[in-house]
Amino acid sequence: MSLRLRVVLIAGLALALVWGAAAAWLAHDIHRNLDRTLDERLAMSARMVSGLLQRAALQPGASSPALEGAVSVGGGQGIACQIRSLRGEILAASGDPTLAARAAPPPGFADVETGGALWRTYTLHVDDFVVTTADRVDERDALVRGIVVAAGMPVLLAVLGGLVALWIGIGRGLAPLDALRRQLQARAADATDPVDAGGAPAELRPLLSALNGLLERLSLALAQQRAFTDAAAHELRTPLTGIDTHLQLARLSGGDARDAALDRAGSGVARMRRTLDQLLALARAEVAPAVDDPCPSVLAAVRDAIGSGTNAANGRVACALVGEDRASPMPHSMLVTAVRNLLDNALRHAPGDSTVEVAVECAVGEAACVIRVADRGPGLTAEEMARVGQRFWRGDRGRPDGAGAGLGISIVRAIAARHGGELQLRAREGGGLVAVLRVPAA
Amino acid sequence: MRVLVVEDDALIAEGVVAGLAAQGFDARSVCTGASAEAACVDEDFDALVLDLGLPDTDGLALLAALRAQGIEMPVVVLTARDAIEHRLAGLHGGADDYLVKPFDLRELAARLHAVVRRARGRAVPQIQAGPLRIEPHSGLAWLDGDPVALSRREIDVLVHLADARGRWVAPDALHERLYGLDSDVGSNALNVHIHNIRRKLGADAIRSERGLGYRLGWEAA
Repeated sequence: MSLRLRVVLIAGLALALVWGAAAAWLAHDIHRNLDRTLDERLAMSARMVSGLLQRAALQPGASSPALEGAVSVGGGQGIACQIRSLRGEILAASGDPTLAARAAPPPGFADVETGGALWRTYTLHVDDFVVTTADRVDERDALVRGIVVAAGMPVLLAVLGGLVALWIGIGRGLAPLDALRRQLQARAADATDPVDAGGAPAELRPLLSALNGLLERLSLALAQQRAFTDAAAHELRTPLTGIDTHLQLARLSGGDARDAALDRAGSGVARMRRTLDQLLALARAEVAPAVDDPCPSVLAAVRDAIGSGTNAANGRVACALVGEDRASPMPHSMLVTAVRNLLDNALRHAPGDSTVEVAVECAVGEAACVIRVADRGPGLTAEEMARVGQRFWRGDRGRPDGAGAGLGISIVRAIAARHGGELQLRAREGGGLVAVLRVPAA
Repeated sequence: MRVLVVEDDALIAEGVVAGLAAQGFDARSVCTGASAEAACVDEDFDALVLDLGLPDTDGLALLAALRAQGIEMPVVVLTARDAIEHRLAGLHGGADDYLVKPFDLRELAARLHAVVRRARGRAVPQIQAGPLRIEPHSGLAWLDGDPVALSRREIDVLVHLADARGRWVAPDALHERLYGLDSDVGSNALNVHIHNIRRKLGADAIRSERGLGYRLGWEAA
């Protein structure tokens, strides 16, 4: 249902209800007042006739022309009049004859039905006569109806006119909404510039500022997404170019040169596979884990991470437990991936003969376990510290081989953020870098 | 033809250098913008192959810096980003041509020949000088319509002399254009090539004058 129809229906119904109640009250009041007035007229007519009879000192059985005259005075103007003797005989009557055929009504006001019609009567006992005046009730009702229609027609017109005015007026009042709709419809599908709130009414401004806030966040997310896909494409295209170049070279040359070129193409494939694996790991780290993968022991996960490395790396990693081993609510595989990435970084940057020290620090009652990975590599400068964790940023760019994809820290951060952990990188005393991964303990 | 490849990715740089060498180029590579700038100032290259994503500087910034120093050698830009904006930025930034990674090594060679040829004011891919006709990109040569077997170096010497358009070329300059600052190549190497060319094309093919250097015996068309 359109907003306009809704508002008009609500306002129109309320308006009609109020006007209807007022009209009903008016009609009722008119009816009551008119009844009283007409009753008074009836009584007055009866008293007038009785006054005439008293003044003329007529006796029952007197000549009827005088009585007829009296009746005609009391009657007329839609009022029937009868004069009876105390015994009930009709001495004179005017108006509807059916009423005369009936017995005299009780004194005072009464409602009498005769000949299919309803009568309002007033009966007065005067000396030896009974004077009755009567009104037809349906005539009275017709009169009331006439007055109600005459008074009600303008009200009805006012109500209908009011509804039309409401429809048009609300349409006009909603024009800013319509203008906003048109402005939004005219936008390109990927437009994220803010909507112009300049001429918007005060009621729309909070909505528009909320909308603009949403658009701003959306535009930021889109820009990040674009930067990410751009960088991902670049990171995949670079090894692909290397592979392609060396395959072409293999075709162009022969003998040892061809074998060397194929060898180099193979190393490009390995690098591309690493980048793809890391991209997949990042994607997995960012979505909720689908499988049930409990982590009963943080230490076991760290040992798995150390064990999943190459043999050469194994001898260079020293692992120590401080305190009690604990379980963690985060999935085992995610913890292994996170520690594996920290270890890879440490091993890549540390000098070949140095040891990478891994410490698992857990205590009973603590909410978190701390995993420290410390190396004796070159560490990070303040500028690098700010950039590390940017996707595809590599601290080792320009180095010939063993280069990472630039996603490791991003993966660890994504896993930590997903599962309520935290990663901090600090300079190590005496040179090198310490990665401190805090994971929740169960 | 001497080409400097500026590429930070070792795998690609190695492949491009070897691929260009296999097609008769004398290529060497550097992996940073700073070393590229230094190499361009120190040595003479016929063309530059420039990757836009360098670790220390933006490829376009390097290009602008080189052009600002008056280095006018033709530049073929390599980019991993094929969005039209990137390509336009490269061309507007002073590049003569671009290739999107991954690319065909033969196409890179062809484009290098084309930009070098245009930079030297030749509209056709062949050099005609008297009875001699040379195709620098294929390394083929003809004398009076008959094919002559010339080595890559010999073709290079003839192309350089033809591009000098009748001016004398000093032996040192010719040596550097052929070998760069490679000190392993003795000064006798050039003399050997000149001798072989004269043997194949006739003594008039290259004239020499003490104190002036070498000149092509025929006027290049």
